[in-house]
Amino acid sequence: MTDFGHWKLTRKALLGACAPAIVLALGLSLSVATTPVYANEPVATGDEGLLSSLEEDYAGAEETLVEIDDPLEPINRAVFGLNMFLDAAVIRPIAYTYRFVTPPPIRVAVTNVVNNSYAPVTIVNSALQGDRQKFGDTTVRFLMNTTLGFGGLLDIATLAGLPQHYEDFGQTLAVHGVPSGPYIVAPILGPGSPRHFVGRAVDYVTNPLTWLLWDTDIVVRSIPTATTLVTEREATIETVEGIRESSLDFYEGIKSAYVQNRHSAINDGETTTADPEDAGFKINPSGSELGRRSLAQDVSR
Amino acid sequence: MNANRRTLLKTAMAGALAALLLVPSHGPASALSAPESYVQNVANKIVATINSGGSFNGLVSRYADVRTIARFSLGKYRKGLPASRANEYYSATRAHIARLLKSHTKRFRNAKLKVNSSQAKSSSNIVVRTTVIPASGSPIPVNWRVVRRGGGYKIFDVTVSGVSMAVLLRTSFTSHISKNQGKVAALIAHLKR
Repeated sequence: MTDFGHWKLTRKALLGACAPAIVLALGLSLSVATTPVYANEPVATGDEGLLSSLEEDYAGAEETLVEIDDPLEPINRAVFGLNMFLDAAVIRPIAYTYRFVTPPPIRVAVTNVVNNSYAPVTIVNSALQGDRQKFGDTTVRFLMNTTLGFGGLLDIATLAGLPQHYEDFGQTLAVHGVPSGPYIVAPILGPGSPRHFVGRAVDYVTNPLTWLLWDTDIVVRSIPTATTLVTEREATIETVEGIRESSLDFYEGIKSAYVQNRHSAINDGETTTADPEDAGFKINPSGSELGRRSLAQDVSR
Repeated sequence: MNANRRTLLKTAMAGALAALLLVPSHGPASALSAPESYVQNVANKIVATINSGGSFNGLVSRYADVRTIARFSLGKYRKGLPASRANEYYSATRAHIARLLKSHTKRFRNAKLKVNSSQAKSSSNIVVRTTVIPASGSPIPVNWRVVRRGGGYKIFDVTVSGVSMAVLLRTSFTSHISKNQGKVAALIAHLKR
Protein backbone atom coordinates (compact mmCIF):
# COMPACT_ATOMS: atom_id res chain seq x y z
CA MET A 1 0.00 0.00 0.00
CA THR A 2 2.52 2.53 1.14
CA ASP A 3 6.14 2.54 0.04
CA PHE A 4 7.79 3.51 3.29
CA GLY A 5 11.34 3.15 2.01
CA HIS A 6 10.57 5.62 -0.71
CA TRP A 7 8.75 7.81 1.80
CA LYS A 8 11.85 8.02 3.98
CA LEU A 9 13.92 9.18 1.04
CA THR A 10 11.25 11.64 0.06
CA ARG A 11 11.00 12.91 3.59
CA LYS A 12 14.73 13.65 3.64
CA ALA A 13 14.44 15.53 0.41
CA LEU A 14 11.39 17.39 1.62
CA LEU A 15 13.00 18.23 4.93
CA GLY A 16 15.94 19.68 3.04
CA ALA A 17 13.63 21.65 0.83
CA CYS A 18 11.64 23.12 3.68
CA ALA A 19 14.58 23.87 5.97
CA PRO A 20 14.56 27.58 5.02
CA ALA A 21 10.84 27.73 5.83
CA ILE A 22 11.46 26.15 9.24
CA VAL A 23 14.26 28.61 9.96
CA LEU A 24 11.97 31.45 8.93
CA ALA A 25 9.18 30.10 11.14
CA LEU A 26 11.56 29.84 14.08
CA GLY A 27 12.68 33.38 13.48
CA LEU A 28 9.09 34.56 13.41
CA SER A 29 8.21 32.75 16.61
CA LEU A 30 11.23 34.26 18.36
CA SER A 31 10.22 37.71 17.22
CA VAL A 32 6.68 37.05 18.48
CA ALA A 33 8.02 36.05 21.87
CA THR A 34 9.86 39.31 22.24
CA THR A 35 7.09 41.56 20.89
CA PRO A 36 5.16 43.23 23.71
CA VAL A 37 1.44 43.18 23.02
CA TYR A 38 -0.69 45.83 24.67
CA ALA A 39 2.14 46.29 27.16
CA ASN A 40 0.63 49.37 28.77
CA GLU A 41 -2.99 48.28 28.94
CA PRO A 42 -4.73 46.36 31.72
CA VAL A 43 -5.47 42.76 30.74
CA ALA A 44 -9.04 41.44 30.66
CA THR A 45 -9.86 39.07 33.49
CA GLY A 46 -12.68 36.65 34.21
CA ASP A 47 -13.41 33.65 36.40
CA GLU A 48 -9.79 32.58 36.69
CA GLY A 49 -10.63 29.72 39.09
CA LEU A 50 -12.99 28.09 36.63
CA LEU A 51 -10.60 28.69 33.74
CA SER A 52 -7.69 27.09 35.52
CA SER A 53 -9.93 24.13 36.45
CA LEU A 54 -10.89 23.74 32.79
CA GLU A 55 -7.28 24.13 31.66
CA GLU A 56 -6.34 21.35 34.06
CA ASP A 57 -9.15 19.18 32.82
CA TYR A 58 -8.10 19.64 29.22
CA ALA A 59 -4.46 19.07 30.13
CA GLY A 60 -4.22 16.00 27.89
CA ALA A 61 -5.80 18.00 25.12
CA GLU A 62 -3.51 20.92 25.76
CA GLU A 63 -0.41 18.92 25.04
CA THR A 64 -1.56 16.58 22.36
CA LEU A 65 -4.66 18.03 20.77
CA VAL A 66 -4.04 21.73 20.78
CA GLU A 67 -0.28 21.88 20.40
CA ILE A 68 0.02 19.46 17.51
CA ASP A 69 3.48 18.53 16.31
CA ASP A 70 3.46 19.65 12.68
CA PRO A 71 7.07 20.28 11.61
CA LEU A 72 6.24 19.62 7.96
CA GLU A 73 3.41 22.13 7.85
CA PRO A 74 4.42 23.88 4.59
CA ILE A 75 4.56 20.54 2.77
CA ASN A 76 1.47 19.25 4.52
CA ARG A 77 -0.45 22.32 3.43
CA ALA A 78 0.63 21.80 -0.18
CA VAL A 79 -0.47 18.14 -0.11
CA PHE A 80 -3.68 19.13 1.64
CA GLY A 81 -4.37 21.55 -1.22
CA LEU A 82 -3.79 18.78 -3.75
CA ASN A 83 -6.09 16.44 -1.83
CA MET A 84 -8.75 19.13 -1.67
CA PHE A 85 -8.56 19.49 -5.42
CA LEU A 86 -8.91 15.72 -5.92
CA ASP A 87 -11.81 15.66 -3.51
CA ALA A 88 -13.65 18.47 -5.23
CA ALA A 89 -12.97 17.06 -8.70
CA VAL A 90 -13.57 13.36 -8.12
CA ILE A 91 -14.48 12.02 -4.70
CA ARG A 92 -17.08 14.50 -3.50
CA PRO A 93 -19.10 14.34 -6.74
CA ILE A 94 -19.09 10.54 -6.53
CA ALA A 95 -20.21 10.72 -2.88
CA TYR A 96 -23.06 13.09 -3.79
CA THR A 97 -24.09 10.85 -6.68
CA TYR A 98 -24.03 7.82 -4.41
CA ARG A 99 -26.28 9.64 -1.93
CA PHE A 100 -28.61 10.79 -4.70
CA VAL A 101 -29.10 7.41 -6.39
CA THR A 102 -29.27 5.10 -3.37
CA PRO A 103 -32.10 5.15 -0.82
CA PRO A 104 -31.05 5.30 2.88
CA PRO A 105 -31.78 1.60 3.62
CA ILE A 106 -29.40 0.57 0.84
CA ARG A 107 -26.70 2.90 2.13
CA VAL A 108 -27.15 1.49 5.64
CA ALA A 109 -26.82 -2.05 4.26
CA VAL A 110 -23.66 -1.16 2.34
CA THR A 111 -22.17 0.49 5.42
CA ASN A 112 -23.07 -2.60 7.45
CA VAL A 113 -21.20 -4.81 4.98
CA VAL A 114 -18.16 -2.52 5.04
CA ASN A 115 -18.18 -2.49 8.86
CA ASN A 116 -18.59 -6.25 9.05
CA SER A 117 -15.75 -6.89 6.63
CA TYR A 118 -13.46 -4.92 8.92
CA ALA A 119 -14.36 -6.98 12.01
CA PRO A 120 -11.48 -9.50 11.61
CA VAL A 121 -9.00 -6.62 11.83
CA THR A 122 -10.66 -5.42 15.04
CA ILE A 123 -10.60 -8.97 16.42
CA VAL A 124 -6.86 -9.28 15.76
CA ASN A 125 -6.08 -5.88 17.26
CA SER A 126 -8.31 -6.39 20.29
CA ALA A 127 -6.34 -9.56 20.96
CA LEU A 128 -3.03 -7.73 20.49
CA GLN A 129 -4.21 -5.05 22.93
CA GLY A 130 -5.32 -7.69 25.42
CA ASP A 131 -8.88 -6.37 25.37
CA ARG A 132 -11.07 -9.40 26.02
CA GLN A 133 -14.32 -7.48 25.98
CA LYS A 134 -13.81 -6.06 22.51
CA PHE A 135 -12.38 -9.35 21.26
CA GLY A 136 -15.47 -11.22 22.48
CA ASP A 137 -17.99 -8.60 21.33
CA THR A 138 -16.49 -8.32 17.87
CA THR A 139 -16.09 -12.07 17.36
CA VAL A 140 -19.74 -12.70 18.25
CA ARG A 141 -20.81 -9.69 16.18
CA PHE A 142 -18.89 -10.96 13.16
CA LEU A 143 -20.33 -14.47 13.40
CA MET A 144 -23.85 -13.20 14.00
CA ASN A 145 -23.89 -10.59 11.24
CA THR A 146 -22.15 -12.82 8.69
CA THR A 147 -24.65 -15.64 9.17
CA LEU A 148 -27.94 -14.24 10.47
CA GLY A 149 -27.26 -10.86 8.94
CA PHE A 150 -26.79 -12.32 5.47
CA GLY A 151 -23.13 -11.53 4.97
CA GLY A 152 -23.30 -8.38 7.05
CA LEU A 153 -26.14 -6.67 5.19
CA LEU A 154 -28.13 -6.58 8.42
CA ASP A 155 -26.59 -5.48 11.70
CA ILE A 156 -28.36 -8.06 13.85
CA ALA A 157 -25.67 -7.82 16.52
CA THR A 158 -26.46 -4.19 17.32
CA LEU A 159 -30.11 -5.12 17.71
CA ALA A 160 -28.94 -7.77 20.14
CA GLY A 161 -27.17 -5.10 22.17
CA LEU A 162 -23.61 -5.95 21.17
CA PRO A 163 -21.59 -2.73 20.83
CA GLN A 164 -19.53 -2.09 17.74
CA HIS A 165 -15.80 -1.50 18.14
CA TYR A 166 -13.03 -0.47 15.78
CA GLU A 167 -9.47 -1.27 16.68
CA ASP A 168 -6.64 -0.84 14.24
CA PHE A 169 -2.95 -1.58 14.37
CA GLY A 170 -2.13 2.10 14.83
CA GLN A 171 -4.18 2.03 18.03
CA THR A 172 -2.44 -1.19 19.06
CA LEU A 173 0.94 0.49 18.62
CA ALA A 174 -0.31 3.46 20.67
CA VAL A 175 -1.55 1.18 23.44
CA HIS A 176 1.92 -0.37 23.58
CA GLY A 177 3.58 3.03 23.89
CA VAL A 178 4.80 3.64 20.34
CA PRO A 179 4.86 7.41 19.76
CA SER A 180 2.76 8.78 16.93
CA GLY A 181 5.43 10.93 15.34
CA PRO A 182 4.62 14.17 13.56
CA TYR A 183 1.41 15.03 11.79
CA ILE A 184 1.58 14.15 8.10
CA VAL A 185 -0.82 14.74 5.24
CA ALA A 186 -0.26 12.07 2.61
CA PRO A 187 -1.44 12.36 -0.99
CA ILE A 188 -4.82 10.61 -1.39
CA LEU A 189 -4.53 8.91 2.03
CA GLY A 190 -5.05 12.19 3.88
CA PRO A 191 -4.00 13.11 7.42
CA GLY A 192 -2.11 10.70 9.63
CA SER A 193 1.13 10.08 11.40
CA PRO A 194 3.96 7.61 10.75
CA ARG A 195 2.42 5.32 13.39
CA HIS A 196 -1.00 5.58 11.82
CA PHE A 197 0.22 4.92 8.28
CA VAL A 198 2.25 1.90 9.38
CA GLY A 199 -0.88 0.69 11.17
CA ARG A 200 -2.96 1.08 8.05
CA ALA A 201 -0.47 -0.92 5.99
CA VAL A 202 -0.53 -3.73 8.58
CA ASP A 203 -4.35 -3.62 8.69
CA TYR A 204 -4.43 -4.01 4.93
CA VAL A 205 -2.32 -7.15 5.23
CA THR A 206 -4.32 -8.60 8.13
CA ASN A 207 -7.68 -8.01 6.45
CA PRO A 208 -8.92 -11.38 5.08
CA LEU A 209 -10.55 -9.59 2.13
CA THR A 210 -7.09 -8.65 0.88
CA TRP A 211 -6.19 -12.31 0.54
CA LEU A 212 -9.61 -13.53 -0.60
CA LEU A 213 -9.46 -11.16 -3.56
CA TRP A 214 -5.72 -11.43 -4.14
CA ASP A 215 -5.96 -13.41 -7.39
CA THR A 216 -8.87 -11.49 -8.82
CA ASP A 217 -8.90 -8.72 -11.37
CA ILE A 218 -7.66 -5.35 -10.10
CA VAL A 219 -11.15 -3.89 -10.52
CA VAL A 220 -12.65 -6.56 -8.25
CA ARG A 221 -9.74 -6.22 -5.83
CA SER A 222 -10.38 -2.50 -5.54
CA ILE A 223 -14.06 -2.83 -4.70
CA PRO A 224 -13.67 -2.97 -0.88
CA THR A 225 -11.38 0.09 -0.78
CA ALA A 226 -13.51 2.05 -3.23
CA THR A 227 -16.71 1.18 -1.37
CA THR A 228 -15.20 2.22 1.94
CA LEU A 229 -13.95 5.47 0.45
CA VAL A 230 -17.31 6.41 -1.06
CA THR A 231 -19.45 5.43 1.95
CA GLU A 232 -17.17 7.32 4.31
CA ARG A 233 -17.10 10.41 2.15
CA GLU A 234 -20.88 10.34 1.80
CA ALA A 235 -21.27 10.08 5.56
CA THR A 236 -19.04 13.09 6.15
CA ILE A 237 -20.30 15.54 3.57
CA GLU A 238 -21.96 17.82 6.13
CA THR A 239 -19.22 17.43 8.73
CA VAL A 240 -16.43 18.45 6.38
CA GLU A 241 -18.51 21.32 5.07
CA GLY A 242 -19.20 22.38 8.67
CA ILE A 243 -15.49 22.53 9.44
CA ARG A 244 -14.80 24.32 6.17
CA GLU A 245 -17.45 26.96 6.85
CA SER A 246 -16.64 27.52 10.50
CA SER A 247 -12.84 27.32 10.58
CA LEU A 248 -10.68 30.38 10.38
CA ASP A 249 -8.20 28.05 8.70
CA PHE A 250 -9.58 24.87 7.10
CA TYR A 251 -6.23 23.08 7.29
CA GLU A 252 -6.00 23.74 11.03
CA GLY A 253 -9.63 22.76 11.55
CA ILE A 254 -9.16 19.40 9.84
CA LYS A 255 -5.88 18.80 11.67
CA SER A 256 -7.45 19.50 15.05
CA ALA A 257 -10.51 17.36 14.30
CA TYR A 258 -8.33 14.52 13.04
CA VAL A 259 -6.02 14.48 16.04
CA GLN A 260 -8.84 14.84 18.54
CA ASN A 261 -10.83 12.03 17.02
CA ARG A 262 -7.83 9.74 16.83
CA HIS A 263 -6.96 10.54 20.41
CA SER A 264 -10.52 9.72 21.38
CA ALA A 265 -10.40 6.40 19.48
CA ILE A 266 -7.19 5.37 21.19
CA ASN A 267 -8.56 6.34 24.57
CA ASP A 268 -11.90 4.64 23.95
CA GLY A 269 -14.01 7.74 23.68
CA GLU A 270 -12.23 10.00 26.14
CA THR A 271 -11.11 13.23 24.49
CA THR A 272 -9.21 14.82 27.29
CA THR A 273 -7.15 12.19 28.97
CA ALA A 274 -3.56 12.85 29.80
CA ASP A 275 -2.25 10.26 27.36
CA PRO A 276 0.89 11.82 25.93
CA GLU A 277 0.43 9.97 22.67
CA ASP A 278 -2.40 10.58 20.36
CA ALA A 279 -2.82 10.59 16.61
CA GLY A 280 -5.80 10.93 14.60
CA PHE A 281 -8.63 9.39 12.80
CA LYS A 282 -8.24 9.45 9.14
CA ILE A 283 -9.58 11.78 6.64
CA ASN A 284 -9.66 11.34 2.92
CA PRO A 285 -8.38 13.93 0.51
CA SER A 286 -10.32 16.74 2.07
CA GLY A 287 -10.67 15.25 5.46
CA SER A 288 -13.38 12.92 4.43
CA GLU A 289 -12.49 9.99 6.60
CA LEU A 290 -13.65 12.17 9.35
CA GLY A 291 -16.60 10.06 8.76
CA ARG A 292 -18.62 7.06 9.30
CA ARG A 293 -16.30 5.53 11.82
CA SER A 294 -15.16 8.69 13.44
CA LEU A 295 -18.24 10.78 13.69
CA ALA A 296 -20.95 8.23 13.38
CA GLN A 297 -19.19 5.52 15.26
CA ASP A 298 -16.62 7.44 17.23
CA VAL A 299 -13.71 5.47 15.96
CA SER A 300 -11.28 5.31 13.14
CA ARG A 301 -9.24 2.66 11.50
CA MET B 1 -31.13 -27.77 -2.25
CA ASN B 2 -34.57 -26.39 -1.43
CA ALA B 3 -34.67 -28.32 1.83
CA ASN B 4 -31.27 -26.92 2.72
CA ARG B 5 -32.42 -23.41 1.93
CA ARG B 6 -35.55 -23.86 4.05
CA THR B 7 -33.44 -25.16 6.93
CA LEU B 8 -31.09 -22.23 6.57
CA LEU B 9 -33.96 -19.77 6.49
CA LYS B 10 -35.58 -21.38 9.53
CA THR B 11 -32.28 -21.18 11.39
CA ALA B 12 -31.82 -17.57 10.36
CA MET B 13 -35.35 -16.63 11.43
CA ALA B 14 -34.91 -18.38 14.77
CA GLY B 15 -31.57 -16.66 15.28
CA ALA B 16 -32.98 -13.26 14.36
CA LEU B 17 -35.86 -13.79 16.78
CA ALA B 18 -33.43 -14.84 19.50
CA ALA B 19 -31.31 -11.78 18.77
CA LEU B 20 -34.32 -9.51 19.03
CA LEU B 21 -35.30 -11.10 22.33
CA LEU B 22 -31.80 -10.36 23.57
CA VAL B 23 -32.34 -6.64 23.08
CA PRO B 24 -32.21 -5.14 26.56
CA SER B 25 -35.60 -3.89 27.63
CA HIS B 26 -35.82 -0.31 28.80
CA GLY B 27 -37.70 0.38 31.94
CA PRO B 28 -39.27 3.71 32.81
CA ALA B 29 -36.91 6.63 32.28
CA SER B 30 -35.07 7.50 35.45
CA ALA B 31 -35.21 11.08 36.72
CA LEU B 32 -32.55 13.31 35.21
CA SER B 33 -30.16 15.30 37.39
CA ALA B 34 -30.19 19.10 37.12
CA PRO B 35 -27.31 19.35 34.61
CA GLU B 36 -28.79 16.49 32.58
CA SER B 37 -32.17 18.24 32.42
CA TYR B 38 -30.42 21.43 31.43
CA VAL B 39 -28.64 19.68 28.55
CA GLN B 40 -31.85 17.97 27.46
CA ASN B 41 -33.59 21.34 27.39
CA VAL B 42 -30.78 23.03 25.43
CA ALA B 43 -30.63 20.13 22.96
CA ASN B 44 -34.38 20.41 22.36
CA LYS B 45 -34.00 24.11 21.67
CA ILE B 46 -31.08 23.49 19.31
CA VAL B 47 -33.08 20.93 17.32
CA ALA B 48 -36.05 23.33 17.22
CA THR B 49 -33.74 26.05 15.86
CA ILE B 50 -32.28 23.68 13.25
CA ASN B 51 -35.77 22.63 12.17
CA SER B 52 -36.96 26.22 11.90
CA GLY B 53 -33.80 27.33 10.09
CA GLY B 54 -33.48 30.26 12.49
CA SER B 55 -30.43 32.02 13.89
CA PHE B 56 -28.42 30.62 16.78
CA ASN B 57 -27.43 34.03 18.15
CA GLY B 58 -30.10 34.18 20.85
CA LEU B 59 -29.50 30.56 21.83
CA VAL B 60 -25.76 31.11 22.20
CA SER B 61 -26.25 34.29 24.25
CA ARG B 62 -28.63 32.55 26.61
CA TYR B 63 -27.15 29.08 27.04
CA ALA B 64 -23.41 29.27 26.27
CA ASP B 65 -20.78 30.59 28.66
CA VAL B 66 -19.36 32.80 25.93
CA ARG B 67 -16.91 34.69 28.15
CA THR B 68 -15.28 31.50 29.44
CA ILE B 69 -15.23 29.89 25.99
CA ALA B 70 -13.74 33.04 24.47
CA ARG B 71 -11.04 33.32 27.13
CA PHE B 72 -10.24 29.58 26.99
CA SER B 73 -9.93 29.83 23.20
CA LEU B 74 -7.12 32.37 23.46
CA GLY B 75 -4.84 29.80 25.10
CA LYS B 76 -1.40 31.22 25.74
CA TYR B 77 -2.45 34.55 24.19
CA ARG B 78 -5.05 35.22 26.90
CA LYS B 79 -2.88 37.91 28.46
CA GLY B 80 -2.83 39.67 25.11
CA LEU B 81 -6.52 40.58 25.38
CA PRO B 82 -6.77 44.13 26.74
CA ALA B 83 -9.69 44.91 29.03
CA SER B 84 -10.64 47.74 26.68
CA ARG B 85 -11.38 45.28 23.84
CA ALA B 86 -12.73 42.37 25.87
CA ASN B 87 -16.42 43.01 25.23
CA GLU B 88 -15.77 43.49 21.54
CA TYR B 89 -13.94 40.15 21.46
CA TYR B 90 -16.66 38.34 23.42
CA SER B 91 -19.30 39.68 21.09
CA ALA B 92 -17.35 38.61 17.98
CA THR B 93 -16.80 35.17 19.49
CA ARG B 94 -20.51 34.84 20.25
CA ALA B 95 -21.35 35.53 16.62
CA HIS B 96 -18.67 33.06 15.47
CA ILE B 97 -20.03 30.30 17.74
CA ALA B 98 -23.52 30.92 16.35
CA ARG B 99 -22.16 30.51 12.79
CA LEU B 100 -20.22 27.44 13.85
CA LEU B 101 -23.34 25.87 15.38
CA LYS B 102 -25.34 26.53 12.25
CA SER B 103 -22.68 24.88 10.08
CA HIS B 104 -22.14 21.86 12.32
CA THR B 105 -25.71 20.98 13.20
CA LYS B 106 -27.29 20.65 9.76
CA ARG B 107 -27.27 16.87 9.98
CA PHE B 108 -29.15 16.93 13.30
CA ARG B 109 -32.46 17.99 11.81
CA ASN B 110 -35.28 16.21 13.67
CA ALA B 111 -32.69 14.43 15.82
CA LYS B 112 -33.47 13.11 19.27
CA LEU B 113 -31.23 13.15 22.32
CA LYS B 114 -30.80 10.39 24.87
CA VAL B 115 -29.05 11.29 28.13
CA ASN B 116 -26.78 8.45 29.25
CA SER B 117 -24.93 9.67 32.33
CA SER B 118 -23.12 12.61 33.86
CA GLN B 119 -19.87 13.08 35.72
CA ALA B 120 -18.82 16.00 37.91
CA LYS B 121 -15.24 16.94 37.05
CA SER B 122 -15.35 19.53 39.83
CA SER B 123 -18.05 21.34 41.78
CA SER B 124 -18.63 23.73 38.86
CA ASN B 125 -17.65 21.61 35.88
CA ILE B 126 -19.85 18.68 34.82
CA VAL B 127 -19.77 16.42 31.75
CA VAL B 128 -23.12 15.05 30.55
CA ARG B 129 -22.82 12.09 28.19
CA THR B 130 -25.56 11.72 25.60
CA THR B 131 -26.34 9.97 22.35
CA VAL B 132 -27.86 11.91 19.48
CA ILE B 133 -30.13 9.83 17.31
CA PRO B 134 -30.38 11.51 13.90
CA ALA B 135 -33.44 11.13 11.74
CA SER B 136 -31.31 8.89 9.49
CA GLY B 137 -27.93 7.36 10.11
CA SER B 138 -26.12 5.90 13.09
CA PRO B 139 -26.41 7.26 16.65
CA ILE B 140 -23.68 9.75 17.50
CA PRO B 141 -22.05 10.10 20.94
CA VAL B 142 -22.15 13.71 22.10
CA ASN B 143 -20.72 14.93 25.41
CA TRP B 144 -21.68 18.30 26.89
CA ARG B 145 -19.54 20.14 29.40
CA VAL B 146 -21.65 22.43 31.53
CA VAL B 147 -20.37 24.92 34.08
CA ARG B 148 -22.19 26.47 37.02
CA ARG B 149 -23.15 30.06 36.46
CA GLY B 150 -25.22 32.27 38.75
CA GLY B 151 -27.14 29.47 40.39
CA GLY B 152 -27.77 27.74 37.07
CA TYR B 153 -25.73 26.22 34.27
CA LYS B 154 -24.20 27.24 30.96
CA ILE B 155 -22.70 25.16 28.18
CA PHE B 156 -18.92 25.40 27.89
CA ASP B 157 -18.16 22.67 25.34
CA VAL B 158 -19.82 20.10 23.09
CA THR B 159 -17.81 17.07 22.01
CA VAL B 160 -19.17 15.23 18.98
CA SER B 161 -17.63 11.80 18.47
CA GLY B 162 -14.50 12.79 20.28
CA VAL B 163 -14.11 16.17 18.59
CA SER B 164 -14.38 19.02 21.09
CA MET B 165 -15.75 22.27 19.74
CA ALA B 166 -13.85 24.23 22.44
CA VAL B 167 -10.55 22.64 21.40
CA LEU B 168 -11.41 23.18 17.73
CA LEU B 169 -12.10 26.84 18.47
CA ARG B 170 -8.94 27.20 20.50
CA THR B 171 -6.77 25.62 17.82
CA SER B 172 -8.31 27.85 15.23
CA PHE B 173 -7.97 31.05 17.27
CA THR B 174 -4.44 30.47 18.56
CA SER B 175 -3.26 29.46 15.10
CA HIS B 176 -4.65 32.67 13.64
CA ILE B 177 -3.07 34.80 16.36
CA SER B 178 0.23 32.98 15.95
CA LYS B 179 0.24 33.69 12.22
CA ASN B 180 -0.38 37.38 12.97
CA GLN B 181 2.63 38.04 15.18
CA GLY B 182 0.75 37.16 18.36
CA LYS B 183 -1.78 39.97 17.98
CA VAL B 184 -5.20 39.27 19.45
CA ALA B 185 -6.42 42.35 17.61
CA ALA B 186 -5.89 40.50 14.31
CA LEU B 187 -8.20 37.74 15.51
CA ILE B 188 -10.87 40.23 16.60
CA ALA B 189 -10.68 41.97 13.24
CA HIS B 190 -10.96 38.63 11.43
CA LEU B 191 -13.93 37.49 13.50
CA LYS B 192 -15.74 40.75 12.84
CA ARG B 193 -15.32 40.51 9.05
